[in-house]
Amino acid sequence: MALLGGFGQGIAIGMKTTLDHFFKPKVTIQYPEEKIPLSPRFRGAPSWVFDNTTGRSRCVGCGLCVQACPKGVIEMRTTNGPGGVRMVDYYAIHITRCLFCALCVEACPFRAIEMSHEFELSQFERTDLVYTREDWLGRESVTGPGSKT
Amino acid sequence: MIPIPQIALDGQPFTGLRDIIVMILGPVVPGWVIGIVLTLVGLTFLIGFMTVVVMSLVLMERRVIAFMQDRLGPNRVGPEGLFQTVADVVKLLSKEDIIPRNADRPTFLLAVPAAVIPSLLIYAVIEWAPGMSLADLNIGFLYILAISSLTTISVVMAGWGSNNKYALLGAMRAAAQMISYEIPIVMSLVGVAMIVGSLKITDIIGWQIDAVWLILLQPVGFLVFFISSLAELNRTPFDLMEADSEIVAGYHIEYSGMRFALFFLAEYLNAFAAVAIAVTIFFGGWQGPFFPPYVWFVLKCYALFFVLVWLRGTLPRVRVDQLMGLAWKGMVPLALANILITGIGMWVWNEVF
Repeated sequence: MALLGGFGQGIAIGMKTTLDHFFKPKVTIQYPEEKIPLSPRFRGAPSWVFDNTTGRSRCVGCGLCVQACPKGVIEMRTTNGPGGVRMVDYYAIHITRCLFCALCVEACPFRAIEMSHEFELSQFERTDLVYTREDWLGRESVTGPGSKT
Repeated sequence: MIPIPQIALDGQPFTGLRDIIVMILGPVVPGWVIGIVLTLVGLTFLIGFMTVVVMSLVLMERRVIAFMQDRLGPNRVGPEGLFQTVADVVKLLSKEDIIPRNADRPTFLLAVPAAVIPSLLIYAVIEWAPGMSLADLNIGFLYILAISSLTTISVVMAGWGSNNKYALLGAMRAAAQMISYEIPIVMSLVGVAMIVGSLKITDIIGWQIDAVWLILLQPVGFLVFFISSLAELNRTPFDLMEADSEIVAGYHIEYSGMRFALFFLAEYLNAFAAVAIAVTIFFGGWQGPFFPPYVWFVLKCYALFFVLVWLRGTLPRVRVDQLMGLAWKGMVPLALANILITGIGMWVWNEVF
């Protein structure tokens, strides 16, 4: 290099850099096949939590989440069952209007609703965008069973 | 009764094809018809093959650049993105053919064949394997240089015909650049012609088989040829005429669809031609062990094309004054000095041995 007065040295260094990067692992994540891990408090679609052992919902039908929701997304109908116990007959979240603020989760005194990690929410039918009890059955809870903190 | 030439099949694929055609047609038709048929078959093969090569080059360039930038590049269409270029071509072919209202129509339309035809003509003298070339001219060298300088005309035609200031600017830059770098390209190959003593492609390859690859005797010649070829091809350190970030796309800014595809084709045909010429002249052509000669030739070409892409992935664009300065203050004196030193070296060699 001293012979040429260092001419072309910069090019050589640059060429080495690009060649190094040619063999390095790539930063691209092939989205539908690979996904980046979501943070624990990621706010996906709100969903009901079912007790893993009994398979029952923790919802007591108090309606606080309905009150808390700024968009009126949550629809709930209750009846009085035997012995004056309140029964939740129908509970639905209209996800099209949801703004993922998690105010319903904060309002719930029994942690019966949580923000799931679901974010691929596209559907072919508009009716499929109204989440009901059946949509949440058998789903893994994000926060885990019975965490009441 | 015309005597039928008795040619034995030499077992080489492709050259064997020529013998088969001669064998079948020989008894039936006169000799000149066979000549025409052979040329047409050769042309068909060449154009078909080069189209595939160009599509592979485009894909290779995109993927190699992507890899150097820590990306993956197109890998969705077909296995590892193999059909990406096919999809691109189909899309370009199906696009609307737009001619600007104020364009100089004849110039605008004729620029496209003027770009593609010279790029294809270069391949007439390239020898893919022993005997596997369309025409082995005894001035093959000169022919290549003469044809490759025709590209400038199409660029100027496209730039003027488009009636667009960016196109014209790009074309003007290109004309200055390509004419300037024509000179060092010619002069860098003079040393080779001096050593070999012939302008015939077969002779050059034959000389290299007998002695050594000419890159060892003419490293400076190769360097000048390679750098000047980069400039001649308007590839990245010298892509001032396309300069995506300054004048959008240079001379072919107004071209769309099919016409743009043909310009693109011509660009890559020229790039592969330059690489093929460098391989023929400096890297021993089709010479190589184990594999058939044409495999070696194509392998060497792709390896050298990888270097082109590698340079594109590395270097930033030069300024206009740097570009011209490099041509006239760097490349031309270097090529001249190379000719002088080659002459002295040959004289010493002849005196001593």
